[in-house]
Formats: sequence, structure tokens, C-alpha cells
Amino acid sequence: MTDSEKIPIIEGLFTLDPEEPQLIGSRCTSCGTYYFPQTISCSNPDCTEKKVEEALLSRRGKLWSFTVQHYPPPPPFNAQEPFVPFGIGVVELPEEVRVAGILTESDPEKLKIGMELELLLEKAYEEDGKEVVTWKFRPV
Amino acid sequence: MMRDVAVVGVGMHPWGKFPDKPLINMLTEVVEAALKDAGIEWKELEGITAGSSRFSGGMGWGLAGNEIAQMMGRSGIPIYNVSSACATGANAFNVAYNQVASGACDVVLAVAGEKMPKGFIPRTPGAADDATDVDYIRWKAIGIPNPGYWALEVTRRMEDFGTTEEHIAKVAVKSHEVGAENPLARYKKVFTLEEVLNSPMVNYPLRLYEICAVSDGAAAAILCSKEKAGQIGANPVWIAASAVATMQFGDRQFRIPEVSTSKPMDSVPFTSEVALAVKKAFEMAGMEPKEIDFIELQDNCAGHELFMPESWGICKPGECDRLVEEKQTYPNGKLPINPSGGFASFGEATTAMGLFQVAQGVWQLRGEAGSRQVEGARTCLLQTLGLGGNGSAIILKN
Repeated sequence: MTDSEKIPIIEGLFTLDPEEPQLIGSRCTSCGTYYFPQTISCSNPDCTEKKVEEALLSRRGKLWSFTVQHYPPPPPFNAQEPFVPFGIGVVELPEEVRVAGILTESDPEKLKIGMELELLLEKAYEEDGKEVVTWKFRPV
Repeated sequence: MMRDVAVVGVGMHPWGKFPDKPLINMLTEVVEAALKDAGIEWKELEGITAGSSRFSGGMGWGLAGNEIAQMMGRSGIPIYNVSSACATGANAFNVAYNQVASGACDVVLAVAGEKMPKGFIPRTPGAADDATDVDYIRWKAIGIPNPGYWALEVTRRMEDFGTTEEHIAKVAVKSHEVGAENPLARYKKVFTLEEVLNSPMVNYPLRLYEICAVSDGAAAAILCSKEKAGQIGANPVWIAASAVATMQFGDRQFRIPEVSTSKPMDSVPFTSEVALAVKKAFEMAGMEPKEIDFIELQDNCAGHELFMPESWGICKPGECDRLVEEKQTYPNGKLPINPSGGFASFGEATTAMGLFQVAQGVWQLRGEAGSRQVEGARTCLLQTLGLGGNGSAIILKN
């Protein structure tokens, strides 16, 4: 399977760079607030201009909190069989935005709040012979 | 000049699953019960505020109040249908309160009821399946259900305050023990600490017996002016405050259904919509947190009983763990929380929850709560939190 056959789980959320993929968010050109996913306005009530531009987010951050998903989520999530519990984390990025994502680690004993994590793309499932990829975070 | 407003009648349907009973029957029953409790007739009502559900009734437009009036009496009165997810009942109550307090009406009915779908709350029909809808992103790409968000809060609390899985389980033990005594509750089974800690893990660190289910339920309240309360010879419970607020920018709560938090700031209160509503309620009532005799709060998971009172300044940060250890949140404790049994025992009929709390609060303040009675209760604080950043707080006093 070649890289060209990888398709994103949802268009427009992340770049498909094979080495250093990044989440695609927005940045307010007036107050500097970052958002994920991309947005059309700025929700800071003190910001009057509310003009936003596309912005790539940092690939590394610190774990703010986490949970472990112990049962298969319902559709539209494509749960694989047999179901294996997976970690879900919220990662604090340097842009002052906390982003949720699936973790490559699912053992609470190995997950520590404050630990450094890095973004990667991994296969979520296969569809029509294509690899559907999503973003995940792995301990550095 | 705002007028004094009383709750003069309440009605509540048992909560649970009633597949053979239409919602309109549940609604008319709670309205009849509330009217009877108040000692008034339908035709005396001057307004209706009703909760809109996205799941049931309301002719598909959230017109629950209109359906009730069509059935019970077409008297031409104004009807407001209110929608604010789990805060709906309390927000309908707030609109009714303002109608009476402002002098626009003397007697208003606040009512809400809902039949919830089985299992998972499904995605909203008509929403776009793309990157513009965060609810789609969270389900499709992350697979995080609502209990996952509550779990994130609890994991974070465990880090910040040393809260243990046992603390969370003890809250659940208390809720089920108390709820078992409530004749209207859906779940009346008492669990030991071991049983809770051995119940299936749903979202680490939350287990099955620590999260609330979805239920069918309905509740109603009759609000009226002081003058009218005197005329009808009512046994009034007074509304010291009814406050509504929405979320603030910079709130660090990671809220359903979002997949990020922008610019979280410690200066913004945690779950700001609720913290703001509670603060406003205390200001309206001219009361201090220590003057509250018991709390009914929205316990979607057992962890809410720990961090909610702290984020309102009723307890110091981290203090609720100790209160739970010492059993001080039982009905006979120093700070009774959810002497009704809470939504752990009832399940959530989302739009009716605020009015459920009003009914439970009124019965307590009248001294009619039986074995769950908070001795000598004079005041209570009621709180709900709805999707979209809707917070609501009510203070009742006798």
C-alpha cells in the first residue's frame, strides 16, 4: 500500500505530511486566539475584528487529562472487531489550545498528566481498499 | 420593582421507562397534580412556560406547552416554549418567574417532560457530516461519548486533588442508598462500595454505577404572586432567586461535544455557565453559600457532586472528597447533596430535570420528604447544566 492511498477520516482537519502531519486550525488575526477545527469567527467577546486565518498547530504538547474508552463507540465511529479499549486524551498545545484525540497508549498506569505527547497519523480502518487515517497522540 | 414569587404547587411523574404511555399523558398528569397541589383550576393560569424536547412531543417544533393547552384548555393565554437542553426545565421556570415577578402575570405554569431514546443519544438530524460540525468530529474521529467528557474531568481532578476511585464510588453508594427511599425513583437498588467498584468500567475512571442513564420523566410547578398566593390560601415556598447564564470564553471545562478548548484561563470559573448562574442567584437572594441547607445538583456522573459545590465557592477546592469520606453529603449530614437520590437514581429526562429539582426541593422545604428529609431545611440550591453552555440556578426558601 502506498501513501497515495491514504485518505483522511474527515477532510480539512489535518495535513497528510507523511513525516510531520499537523492539525489545521484557525488563528484570530486580531486577538491571536487559536481554534480547532477551523472556524469562521472568533469567540473572544473582547475581540471586535473577528477575522480568522488558517493556522497549522504544533505537533507536540502536554497531556491535560485522559480517559480510556472501554466500550465500542456507536456509529459514525467505525469500531474495529474485536474491540480493544483505547485511550482518549486532551493535549495542551503551545498555542494555548487544548485538543482531544485518540492516544496510542491505553494503560492508565502509563499515562501521566503533564507528559509530553506528539501527533501522528494512524490507520483508523480500511474502506474500499484505502487506508482511512486519523490523528492520534503518542508519548514522546 | 420585582415582586415576590412563590411556588404554590408541584407535580411529578415517576421516572423510568414507560413505552406504552404517550408523553402527553405524562404531561397532563403532572399538570393536574400541580394544579391540585396549588388548589387552583386550569382556567386560573395566566401563562405557560414549557420545555422543548428534541426527542419527543411538541409536534416536532418543541411546542410542548401548546400541546398541553390544546388538550387541557384552550384559554388563549401566552405560551413560551423554552429550549436549553438539560437546563430547559430550570430556564422555563426562570421565564415563568420573570413573568410573575415583573407583574405581567399572577399565575404561571412551568412544565416539562420527555421520553428519551433508548441507549445512546443520537446525532442531531440534518447536521453536516463534515469538519464544520464538532459533534460529527468527536463521534467519527475520536469516538468520545458523553461519559468520556465527564471522565476527563474526573481524571484531571484525581491529579489536582488526589481524589480516588473510591471517593467517586462512595458518592454513587450514597446516591443509590438515598434514591432507594424515593418512591418516584427509577433505580431503587442499594449497592455496596465493592459492587460499585466492581461494576463495568465505562470510561476510565468512571464505572457503570457512577454514571446516569436516560429516562422518561415529567414535572411541573405553579408559580404565583404573593397576593394571589394569599387569595388561594396556598402553602407557599418562596423563590429567593432564579438565575440563568451561559458559558464564558476561556473556560477550561472540556465540554460536550467540543474537540478543543481555546485559551483556557484560570481566571474564568470552571463550568462558567453554572458558576455564573449560582453567583447571580446568591446575589439575587442576598444570601451567603453557608446559608444553603441542601443542594440538588445535576449528577450526570458521581464526580459532579465533588467538583460542582467547590466551583461555586460552597466548599473549598478539594474539600468535597473529605465531606464524602465523612458521609456529610447524606440527608442528615452537614451539606446534604441530592437528598432526592439525584439523576443517579432517576436517570436524565433532560428537559424536565430543572423542574424535577423544583418539585424535590419544594417537598423537602415543606417537610414532606419522609426518610430522606433534611431536618429543619429552610433553603435549597438547585442547579442544572445544558448542552451549548446553558447554566441555571434556583434558590428556594420556606
